[in-house]
Amino acid sequence: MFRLIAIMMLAFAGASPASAQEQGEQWRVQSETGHAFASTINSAGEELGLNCQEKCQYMVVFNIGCQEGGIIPVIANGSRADAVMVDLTCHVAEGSSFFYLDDLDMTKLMAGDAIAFAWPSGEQLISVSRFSLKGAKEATASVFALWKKAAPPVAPGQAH
Amino acid sequence: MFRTIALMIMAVFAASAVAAPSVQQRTFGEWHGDAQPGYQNAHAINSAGSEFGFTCTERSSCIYYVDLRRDCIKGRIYPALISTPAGGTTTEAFCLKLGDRSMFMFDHPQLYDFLGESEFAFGLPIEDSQFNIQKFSLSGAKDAVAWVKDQAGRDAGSAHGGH
Repeated sequence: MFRLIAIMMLAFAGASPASAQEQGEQWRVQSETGHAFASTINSAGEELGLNCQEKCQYMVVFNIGCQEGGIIPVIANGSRADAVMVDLTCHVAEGSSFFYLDDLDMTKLMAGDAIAFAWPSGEQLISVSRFSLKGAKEATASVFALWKKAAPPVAPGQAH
Repeated sequence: MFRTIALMIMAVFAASAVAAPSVQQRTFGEWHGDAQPGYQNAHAINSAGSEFGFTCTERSSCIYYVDLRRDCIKGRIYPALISTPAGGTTTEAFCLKLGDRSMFMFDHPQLYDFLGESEFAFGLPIEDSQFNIQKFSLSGAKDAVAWVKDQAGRDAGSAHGGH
């Protein structure tokens, strides 16, 4: 299930998407007036997405329960970018927790075939969430284009 | 700071290769300790042959390290994730080349407290968006590290004419 799409559509629009389209093999794009979204789900059911409404923000859902405002230390590793450390802040909406990736240079990290996040996970010690970026370039370009049609011209590469 | 300690550690490991008659060895759970003048070390080796340890120089500068049996770029600082069942954090690890060995030197204010846990994991981002994750037993780790610090303190004291 595309949890981020559900969160964003319900939280911001309060209605089902007025239009939807599929792009790329593993990325899904949805849009409605002034709001566009693309995401992918990995084999573990985790989700990575780009949401554009008032601004564009990358987001991720890990298989982790967290409380609003909670911080988890993460290393993000792209196949064509240097790995980076970042602290992610937990947000909860519609009963699901997710993290904004505002502090990461997602343009660089999204440039390869895959992106992975490693984070401390209690008894498992370290968990790795990996996402395919196959189709991501087309999907995110579509989101930016759809969103720009109805939103003020803010540089989309800057996720906020 | 990493570089200074790394240079000291390099000398220390080199010195340790020459067996000294006054070497002391102790076992703490899964951890093994060695101490001789100018060299104090404790470490555990996991089933993959990777090593997690703690070592001190003759000036009592101490640092943690892992040897993942994989290459790294000398002098480069890598991001790393360290974790125990009680929690984890990110840190920076400095690549030190020592002969055939490539070692990642690191430290963190929380690390000594982590040693009281059962297990420790070190996660290093590698190529193609993968991670090399190695797990180590912490059985005996806290006692072993405390012993190394104590030995280093005694060593520093004797080197400076103390007791």
